[in-house]
Amino acid sequence: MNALYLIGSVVGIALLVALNILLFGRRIAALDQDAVVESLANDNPGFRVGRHTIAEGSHTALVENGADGVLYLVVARGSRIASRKLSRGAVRGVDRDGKSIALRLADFTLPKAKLAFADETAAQDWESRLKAMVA
Amino acid sequence: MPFNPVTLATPAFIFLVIVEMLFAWITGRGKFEARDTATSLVMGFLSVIAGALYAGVFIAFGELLRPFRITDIGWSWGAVIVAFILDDLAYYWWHRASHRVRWLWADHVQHHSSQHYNLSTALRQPVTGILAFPGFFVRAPLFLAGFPVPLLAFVHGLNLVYQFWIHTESIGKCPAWFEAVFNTPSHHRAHHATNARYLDTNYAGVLIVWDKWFGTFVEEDAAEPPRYGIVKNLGTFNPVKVAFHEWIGIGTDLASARSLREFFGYLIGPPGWSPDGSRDTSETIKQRWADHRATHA
Repeated sequence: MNALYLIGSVVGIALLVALNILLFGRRIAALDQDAVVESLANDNPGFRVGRHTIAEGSHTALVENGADGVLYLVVARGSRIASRKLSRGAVRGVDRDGKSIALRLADFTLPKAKLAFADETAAQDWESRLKAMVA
Repeated sequence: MPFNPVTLATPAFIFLVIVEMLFAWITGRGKFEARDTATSLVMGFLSVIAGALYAGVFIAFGELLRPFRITDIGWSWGAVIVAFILDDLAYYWWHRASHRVRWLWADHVQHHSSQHYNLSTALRQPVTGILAFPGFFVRAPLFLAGFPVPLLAFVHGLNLVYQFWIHTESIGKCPAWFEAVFNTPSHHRAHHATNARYLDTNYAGVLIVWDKWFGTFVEEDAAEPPRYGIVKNLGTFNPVKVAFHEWIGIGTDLASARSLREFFGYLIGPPGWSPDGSRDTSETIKQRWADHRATHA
């Protein structure tokens, strides 16, 4: 492999990505209840939305499965959604700062998530729920 | 080898990605996302570099077995055709093992990690092929049969070139006779889907008949559009994390194994296997959905 091939590849990749941005923009999925429920229902038969919150900015959500009480973190990743079951041990740490919570997860590709709530009471409420998940 | 089909086809790959991108933009048939495309293309580029190492070991493996070949098969059109078909059969079994054995899945999962399905996804190739070396053994019979190693490398390259165009949503169904025999965008969309009914199906490279004969074929159903990605979709577009995430997962699990059963379960059991059954495998996912349908029929 020579330098020309290397440079050509880098330039080619950059141009293709630039074309992608030009044509399709850089949309990030905005989570609403419908999108979150659909995502979780697709992966969990019998899913019923229970207690839930969509964080400020609409890119992160916490959703309880009303059918079995399991709590899920749902995050926007680009234009798509990824979710994580928050079982005991999945959460490494929960740090609240006022109305925001920073979650640390035992997950190599999703190690952190930040949620901003409308008020501190809601943040405290979810904080205690999440801290129960910490191993 | 007369030439490397993949190298020769690469400019066409790039051109067709551009064509598909424009087609998707104009018609809405297909989706592209910049960061996803970037990850796919970077991994494709890195896989070319890593592939040089993989090819070297592949050829060395073939040459190691060559003294034990049962006959000598020379270069001829007949040999190329027979080798192509047998290589495709070997590919089917390698591909099936790559979905059912975590050690091999750790390499192959990289290709499945995109939540999009377009021609750039076809270029999202694994960069850790050398770590999944047990996959070499599926081609041992071909080497032992006496096919020249360069001939086998050549037909394998043709197989990979064929599989490029089936990574698209821009093509619906092909003519029925073609769908019956060959791998197509429709068949391969089902393969890349995480819907329970599509999990671990349609392993074909070129000929879908292998899936029909070995019981792993599922037709794409218009009433259930495929959802792409992996069961636990990644939270990152970082190509290095994409490449190594499952290897890291295996390492973490092996370090926690308390017995040989757990050790080998984590290493060569199906993806998602766990000693306590707390994680999902394809079987548990399918069973959960089957149970749900049975109780809500």
